Amino acid sequence: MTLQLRAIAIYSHTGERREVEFELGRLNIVTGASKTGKSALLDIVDFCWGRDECTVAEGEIRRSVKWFAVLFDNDGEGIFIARHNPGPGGRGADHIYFERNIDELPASASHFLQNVTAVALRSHLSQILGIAENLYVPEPGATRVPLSASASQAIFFSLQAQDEIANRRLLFHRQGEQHIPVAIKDTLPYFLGAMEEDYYLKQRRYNEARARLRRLEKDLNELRALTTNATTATEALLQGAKKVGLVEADVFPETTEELRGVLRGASAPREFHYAKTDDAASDLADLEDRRRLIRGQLMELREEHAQFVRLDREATDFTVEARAQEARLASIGLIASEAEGHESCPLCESKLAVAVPSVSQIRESLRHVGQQLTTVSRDRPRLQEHIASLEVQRAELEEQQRTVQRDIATRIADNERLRIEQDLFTEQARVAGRIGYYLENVQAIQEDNGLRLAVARGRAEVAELEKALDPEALNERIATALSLVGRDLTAYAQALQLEHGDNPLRLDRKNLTVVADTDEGALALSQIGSGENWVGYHVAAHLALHRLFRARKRPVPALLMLDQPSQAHYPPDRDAGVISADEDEDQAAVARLYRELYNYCEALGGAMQIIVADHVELLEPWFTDATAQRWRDGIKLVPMSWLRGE
Amino acid sequence: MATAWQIDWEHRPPEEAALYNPAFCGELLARSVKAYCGSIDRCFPLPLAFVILPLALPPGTRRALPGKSNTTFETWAAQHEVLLSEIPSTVLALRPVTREALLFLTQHKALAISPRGLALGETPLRLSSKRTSTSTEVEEMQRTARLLGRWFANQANPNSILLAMGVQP
Repeated sequence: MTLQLRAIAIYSHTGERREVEFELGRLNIVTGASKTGKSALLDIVDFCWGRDECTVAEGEIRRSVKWFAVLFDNDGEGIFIARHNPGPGGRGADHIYFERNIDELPASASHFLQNVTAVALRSHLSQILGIAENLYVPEPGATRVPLSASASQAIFFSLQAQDEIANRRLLFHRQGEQHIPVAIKDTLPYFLGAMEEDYYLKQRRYNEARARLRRLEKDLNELRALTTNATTATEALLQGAKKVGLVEADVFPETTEELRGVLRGASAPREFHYAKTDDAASDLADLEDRRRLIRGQLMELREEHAQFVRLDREATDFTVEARAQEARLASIGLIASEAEGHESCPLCESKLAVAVPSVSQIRESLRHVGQQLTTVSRDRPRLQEHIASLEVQRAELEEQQRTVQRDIATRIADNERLRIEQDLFTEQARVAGRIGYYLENVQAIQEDNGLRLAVARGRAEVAELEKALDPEALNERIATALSLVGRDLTAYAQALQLEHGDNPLRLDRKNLTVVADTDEGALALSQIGSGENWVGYHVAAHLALHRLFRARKRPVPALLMLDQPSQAHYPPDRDAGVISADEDEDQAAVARLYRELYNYCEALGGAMQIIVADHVELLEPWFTDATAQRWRDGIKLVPMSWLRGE
Repeated sequence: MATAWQIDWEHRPPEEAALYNPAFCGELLARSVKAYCGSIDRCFPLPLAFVILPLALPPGTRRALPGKSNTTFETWAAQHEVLLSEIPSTVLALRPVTREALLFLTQHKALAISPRGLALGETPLRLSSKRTSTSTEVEEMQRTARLLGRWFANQANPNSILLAMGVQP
């Protein structure tokens, strides 16, 4: 996934096209006099990449152009983006035409219409670059919101406008604007490849695993509290059991084991026996038996009832399904008559391997489904009658049950002594229940290690994910990447013979600048003098960064656009024109810079494209070879004819 | 892969045969073609016929489609990346259904296929006639088919629709 630039084009109001084509994987130079539109090239790329504001300078370009367009090359696939010129004084326009898989620039702009918004365009570009889902979460306590790297940030590394390349305080494109430096800083780890592609997924997993672990730990702590407060809790339980007579008053167990044994005995289910000697209550046991019998019958009846209701519902489900089929088959009614020869292809007259279903076949299916539907609804009344009879039976049984219950209640009310007995029984049951609950939990934690195991497993998982997400490890990977960039940066600075180039250089991620570590201390770019150094360090830093991007196959366009790198030697208002490479210091320095750019592309073997707009022209064969356009003697970006037409 | 559409009508699983019957699928296609040709003076591009059923039949895509036909396809596609990732396999699965429905319509001269694309035939379906049986789902699909026809008519380039869905034109 290397994204490079095939061409930049502009379309006039009358539909004419003017294009600047570039070769992929090498140095392309657009040379020309000042005020020919060289700087507009970079602004057009920036604008077509989805920037909100159009920065193309006011003037004849803004007046005579209708569409700005670029054609990118994505490993052979042409990606075309055209954006409506907001016109003189306008800042932005949301008319964007986007087309993929295109071979060459459209000849006319007649079919351009808005088919994508700027937001959607940026999302398409992120996808094309292959930017994985990612999120940079700032250190705890920071006020800025988490930011995900996208195509909008990737372009910052690929452009250097005329006023940026020689700026001693700003290293990157648009670094001087609000919020942009923070965005560059936060997405740099992703673009450097320090943040793995699945970092986002891991972070989600980590958050989820931690929440799960917290839940498990809470359960475990509750269980623990039950067992660790054992002595007081069991003592209280034993006292309670003695009070209601579940345990004899003179039992004093000594060990915990014994105590548990006594409690287990106390919580064992016991029989509810009434005083059999009492005549008034002698038939209570019979009544109890009868009640149990009725309850059993009721239960059976309920099950049967539920079964029939389910059967009925299944029949309904079938009806719904069959109705759906019937509704779709009914489309056959739209066909007037049977066609001739449904077994042959209507296009080529050959016999089809599988005949297209004929009208009569589909009608037959429709009739069949209809028949099934009537059978089902004929079946259903019988089911419902049966269900109704079951319900009558159930009502009868319930009535009987109520009678028996009433009898029991009367009997109990008859006998005061019985009531007291039952009270005691209720109290006993309550205490036994508490003891049972306690013993169960104790048993759960003693016998079942599942929860403990789950907590241990959860901890291990969280620790593992933490290690993968470790901010220390992330910082280390960033440091590694930056030291690689620093190494290349030093090499390029030496080749360009920059001041302090003989010291180790590094990219300062916090301040977004280049720093030279000298014997006297660290020197930031803003402290180093001379315009030549500023341009040189910008170029060296970008070359070093892109070398890492290419080596790690990062989703950054394999493209670097530089505007006027010779301005330190030949200011923009002084048109240098054609120079040779060795007449004076200035010429030698400019030649060195271009030679380095040329060699860089050669060394990367087509993996990188550099586009430079400048007004110098070197008398060297390789320079002429790399020149894509020469705008002098009246040739400009906007043809003269477009202006006359106005 | 042997599908139900490589065997005769009588031997197909009855539910599948009934739910994907060519008369119904053909009706949906005919509605799209009619809406398309009603909005723009052009034939309906044949490749687009193969994405009508995958978009109109599954409830997921049917409900995600825009309500108005002037939404641009590129913007909609960027918002529904996840949904669109399922489309290619659905298109592949429903290709024989669409093919059979197209043949069915052509046999009854309800649709005419020419090198320029699809157009209504000599005896078009009587789409406005009253149906013997219907359901809310069927009505929803009929509405969707009409909308797709109008929507596709409003897009500049039919290839970009196929491309965005991950289908080779």
